[in-house]
Amino acid sequence: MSDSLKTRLVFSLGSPSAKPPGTPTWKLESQRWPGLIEDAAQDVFGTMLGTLLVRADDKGPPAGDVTAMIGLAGALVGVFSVRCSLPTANLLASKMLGVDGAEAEYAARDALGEIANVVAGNLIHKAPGLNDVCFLSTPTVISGHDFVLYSPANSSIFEVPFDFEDSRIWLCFSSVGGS
Amino acid sequence: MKKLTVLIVDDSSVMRKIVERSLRQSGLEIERVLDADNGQKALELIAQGHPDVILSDINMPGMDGLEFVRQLQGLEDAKGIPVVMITTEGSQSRVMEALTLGARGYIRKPFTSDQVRDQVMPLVKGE
Repeated sequence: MSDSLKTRLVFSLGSPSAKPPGTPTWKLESQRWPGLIEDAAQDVFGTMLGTLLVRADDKGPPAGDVTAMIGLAGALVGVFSVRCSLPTANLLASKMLGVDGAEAEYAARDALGEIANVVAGNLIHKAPGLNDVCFLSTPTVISGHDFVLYSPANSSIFEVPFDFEDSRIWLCFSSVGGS
Repeated sequence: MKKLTVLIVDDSSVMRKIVERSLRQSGLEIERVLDADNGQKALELIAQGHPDVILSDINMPGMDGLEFVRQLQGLEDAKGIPVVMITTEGSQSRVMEALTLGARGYIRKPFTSDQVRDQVMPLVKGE
């Protein structure tokens, strides 16, 4: 199928209502974001899956059939996402729940959503001063690879690829206005 | 200690399974696990029979964990059931609100089975 025939999903970040008037803006130097994302993720993968991620050098764009997204609102506004292939999501579910085969496949998308949720929560917990002033949405999980995440001009995007077993997982944070 | 009946309240079926798995790995004797995906359904389950302990998420669509604890405390025959809150972002204000409403402890995600045991065990000793 040519690109022109594909239906492209476009997600827009940065609803004005995500930051009520008077809410302080929380900022972090750009170079510290990848390390913070990695710290938050390693806790979650170590505790919930009994394995660690390995930071990958790959600078290519995120790819994969499954993307879990969590909205952040309050002092920090944006979207945190975890993206990987469906077989990798199956493997994540298998390790999280101690199940295999069809049971892991059935739980794969929910498992990726829950990983995104807990990593985003841990990110807030680890970022000094964000507790109680930043809040999470429930997870949204997208199946398919042909979509565009549209970010406003005043956004910053941090993409951190990891190796997990023999596959690749991307953790991304798109921050609107602050960072 | 008798075998426990536990109620797990979380809108994520995956997280309910993770909590159940952690409970079973923690060394606690579990007889039965009930689950609900929001506070309202949890209250309906409690009306049919009392669990020994409840582990509840805070952020849930419908009736959230804070409202669930508030309503549980209003039930004369059920308000003594210990509730442990499970939080994602670790918001201290929400945790404090839950404890003020009557929750007996909290666990922040991600958690280990040891952390689950350490929270639940003191609440069910003597059961």
